[in-house]
Amino acid sequence: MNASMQPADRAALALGVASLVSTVFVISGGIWVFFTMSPATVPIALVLGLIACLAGWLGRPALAVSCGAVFVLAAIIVVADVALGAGLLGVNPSTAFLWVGLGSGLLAVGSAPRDD
Amino acid sequence: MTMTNVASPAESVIAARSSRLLIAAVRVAVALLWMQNVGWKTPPQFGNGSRPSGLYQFTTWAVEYPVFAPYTWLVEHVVLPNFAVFGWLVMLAEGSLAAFLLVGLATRLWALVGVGQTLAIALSVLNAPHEWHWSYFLMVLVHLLLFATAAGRYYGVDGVLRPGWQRSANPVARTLGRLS
Repeated sequence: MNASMQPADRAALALGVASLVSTVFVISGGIWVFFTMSPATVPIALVLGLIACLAGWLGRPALAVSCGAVFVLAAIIVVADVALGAGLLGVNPSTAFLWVGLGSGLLAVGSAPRDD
Repeated sequence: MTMTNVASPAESVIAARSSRLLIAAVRVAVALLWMQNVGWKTPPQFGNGSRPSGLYQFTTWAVEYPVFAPYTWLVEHVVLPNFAVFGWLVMLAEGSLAAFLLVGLATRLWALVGVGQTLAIALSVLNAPHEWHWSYFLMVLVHLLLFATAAGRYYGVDGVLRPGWQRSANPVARTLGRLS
């Protein structure tokens, strides 16, 4: 790990890793479906997760904030998809709130004052 | 009376990395509990249809199997006639519990919201058939534990941002410091 990383950068990296790990749930079943992942949402989680990891690794808070905003936007799209009955993404509201959490976390750590 | 700098037993337990990891694990597990259960709260009907199901059906149990008369009245005369609004509010509350407990942001606030939401659920279903009352007692207790331990300060966003919030003169930041 980059030794000069600030705590907020490490948090952004951890949130990105969480998004990458969440894609494992595309194969979950039974009682382990804490949230749903579909072939349509896995690429979103992977790309945004990688961007969050980069934001943390490179110490780019603006990138973390942008990534967080896109996570929240994606969550809104999921809720709209479910509410309109379109089912294009193949997931339920649990996925939206996973992304609200990751997005809010990235927005918070990305906009925090830094010790430069 | 003599004063020492030795940490009290309670402080030393929290200081242990294993304890902090366990507190974080419980916080994340509680977040997953809410996340899994927001998954079946599907807008825009939330189970209110010709064959009641899901959230709507569970909510009617507050009337069918009353727990607390004023709450039953509220559900019958306010909640059920306006169920679409109520459904969205429940989904947002439980989804936010999942989201913010997961990352540990404003954790003490959300722990208290979790207590309130658990009480609302219990008042709806506690007397329904096949319900285990300790499920709801345990849910209340675990949220109180998250509040008491300020669980977001361990491997959570609160732990990263709280020092800055406390130093800040910004009222929003100071409020977040108190809620963390």
